[in-house]
Amino acid sequence: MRAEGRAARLGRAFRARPVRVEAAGIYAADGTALEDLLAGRRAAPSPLPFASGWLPRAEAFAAAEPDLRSSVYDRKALRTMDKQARLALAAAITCGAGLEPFADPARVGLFMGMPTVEEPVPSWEALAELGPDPADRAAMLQTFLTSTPPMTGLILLNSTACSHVASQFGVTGPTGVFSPWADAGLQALVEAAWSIVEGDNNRALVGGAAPTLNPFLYLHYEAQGLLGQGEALPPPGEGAAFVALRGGEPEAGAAVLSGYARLFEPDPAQAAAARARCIEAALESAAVTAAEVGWVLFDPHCGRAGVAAELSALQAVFGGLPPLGAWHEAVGHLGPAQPVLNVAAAAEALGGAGRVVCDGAGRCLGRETAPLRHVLINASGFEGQFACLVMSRYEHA
Amino acid sequence: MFEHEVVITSVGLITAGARSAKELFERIKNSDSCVSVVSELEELGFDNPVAAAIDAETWKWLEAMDPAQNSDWDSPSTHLAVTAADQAMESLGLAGQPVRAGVFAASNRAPMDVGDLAELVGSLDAANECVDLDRLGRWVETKRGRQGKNRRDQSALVLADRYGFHDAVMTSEDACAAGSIAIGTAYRYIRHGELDVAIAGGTELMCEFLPFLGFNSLGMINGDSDRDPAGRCRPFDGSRHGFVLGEGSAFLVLESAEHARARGAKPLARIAGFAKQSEAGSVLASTEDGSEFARCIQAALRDAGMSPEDIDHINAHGTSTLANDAAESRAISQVFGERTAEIPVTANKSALGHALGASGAIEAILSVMSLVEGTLLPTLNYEAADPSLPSLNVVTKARPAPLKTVMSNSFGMGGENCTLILEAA
Repeated sequence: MRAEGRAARLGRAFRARPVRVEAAGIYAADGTALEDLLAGRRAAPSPLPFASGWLPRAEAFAAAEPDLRSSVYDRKALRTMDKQARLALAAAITCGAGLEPFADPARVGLFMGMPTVEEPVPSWEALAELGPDPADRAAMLQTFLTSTPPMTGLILLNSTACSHVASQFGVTGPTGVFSPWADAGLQALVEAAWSIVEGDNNRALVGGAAPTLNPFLYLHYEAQGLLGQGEALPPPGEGAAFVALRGGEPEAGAAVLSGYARLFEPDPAQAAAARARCIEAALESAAVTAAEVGWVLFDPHCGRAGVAAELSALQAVFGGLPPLGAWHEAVGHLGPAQPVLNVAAAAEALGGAGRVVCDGAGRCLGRETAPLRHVLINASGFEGQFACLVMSRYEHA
Repeated sequence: MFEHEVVITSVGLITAGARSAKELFERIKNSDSCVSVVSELEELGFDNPVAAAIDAETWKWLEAMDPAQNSDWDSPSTHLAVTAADQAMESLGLAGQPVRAGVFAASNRAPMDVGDLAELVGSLDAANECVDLDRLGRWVETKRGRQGKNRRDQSALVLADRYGFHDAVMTSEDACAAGSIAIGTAYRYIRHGELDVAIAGGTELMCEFLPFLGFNSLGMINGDSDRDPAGRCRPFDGSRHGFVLGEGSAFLVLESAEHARARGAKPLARIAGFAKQSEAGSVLASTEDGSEFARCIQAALRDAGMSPEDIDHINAHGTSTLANDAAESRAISQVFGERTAEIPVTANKSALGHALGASGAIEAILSVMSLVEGTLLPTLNYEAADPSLPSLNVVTKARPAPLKTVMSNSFGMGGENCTLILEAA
């Protein structure tokens, strides 16, 4: 693992050119807002409509369709979005409501972490029409042609989701879309911050969405072994989160990005040690000691072995488990939106909202109002991707 | 901020009709199109079953090489990516050296093929009007890696694991500009000293049932049955209407000039400039007057510290759609002014079709080879200018030309735009 070079550079850059969180917005099950999460409230999971004995935990946090008709820049655009893209746009609109207008849209970037778009074609209805014998391929084509929405080609591209947010806000700076797991959300955030540090942008919108709940999502989980014996899949949730980043001198007390590190370690036997080195690199990047970190928003969604590796790494670095936080028992795990939600929550917590502490299984232990100076946010992928971000309460030198 | 010179030291690709960059370059140089009727699409009943698809013989060749070491990842798209990337890596023997190294791989989509769809039907519980996940689960058990096929990040992870390039692993999915953006992002990382080496490029396999269905539903695929398949992709031509899908994988090894020198590697070219931008306009069509494409080109020129006079050749995005080619023509005119009618423009998609997320990487490699060989590649099927557009100097036959700089444009659906500027080493 040789991520320290970049981590050290980023930490220095963040101290020289601070990047702060200026606004946030989320869209989650039961209309849960950020303040609900920080107050310890939780949404109610619902049974999966396609549940079967195959699934060990047949419930999830489904989000209602957002009503975007009156707020979207072009109602026709809704036809080129799947649900996760619509949720992302809803979260972006909530985030944007608290923002000053963009004086220079060409220097406002947009970076998103998005899950794989699952097949909107063929619809299950179209498949059902085919019956048990799809041997007649001409009939198959005809069925699909008549049941395929005209904008399907665009729905399939994640960049379309990004384009809609760009159009909603009229932002035309550098963009980037990353995929598919939680680490992609943190990657989007750091690329956005880096674009501000480099001077390409002076502000940036960063968002992520959770994958839409459908059978294909569970095929991904199965392929990752998360539905196997002895696994404990945290309930997935539908939702999205956005934050707005801004360069320039922050006010004292603002939440700023202060350190980052990431790695890819595909060998499971090395996972705990590699994660520990990554966390240490992120803390070093931020010039922060483990003792100064008051809250760790960890990632409970990378399989039993992945979670065990992360908790082991935290114990090694912190000399025991630090105060943990996670939201999967409140709104479900939100995939690439999860770290963006964590950044939004950390910004509030650093601003004085307090922290909601949970145990290593994600069970809520209660809300605490201790002042925080630094928060660590971790995000994982299933194949050895791991990223850590340190956020800090800004104090004038 | 200290900046490093970034050079391209080797390349690798596989496309329809070509198993190496040299083979593809020679093929286009000879005006030999890679576009043909795709029998599988024809059998499915499409009335425009024309694409630049990787043929069955090439797939057999790929399978015989069996480069994928990890069977869990052995999907067609990763198989293709590994083979193309191995070409780039093998020529310089980078593997195993202790460097700060990353992978930047583009891919938009790896949809289910028609066989998957047919088998999925068996997972339906018609009596209860639902999907039988137990049956679906058993199907997955027999199709290990099938869902991985649907993962955009698969190629990046496989390459990172294969070469030990763990310091940055990214998957770009920025529509038609994704391949160029992957290269440009790697360039930025090396330029700022965060990496010494990167492998960057893209892979796309779209000549299948679902993409054809999707793009046909948008009316974007050429359906001109009066023309031979090879004549249907006609960038900038007055009679163009619609693109032809292509597929392939292309990767470039980028490294800092210091690192290349220390290894004794001879650069093929250097990357001089890069810009990526969002249009924030319509997701269906680019800004009609070309102003957004022009803004992207100008940003890349600024990044390179160059003026329009410094550019010798334009490798255009040139999709053969009415709107995109019109906007690109206007953008070239806005940026290059009086030189618009002089500067040679080529559009590789005329021979290769549009490989979407891989196209920017394929075209970057062809641009590098134009610099190395001192040869302008032809735009196939360009017969008559579009009288409604600024007159371009579209190259129609390969010809020698002393080239120092090439600009490569990639302007993606939804308004994700990218321009790379490449310079002779």
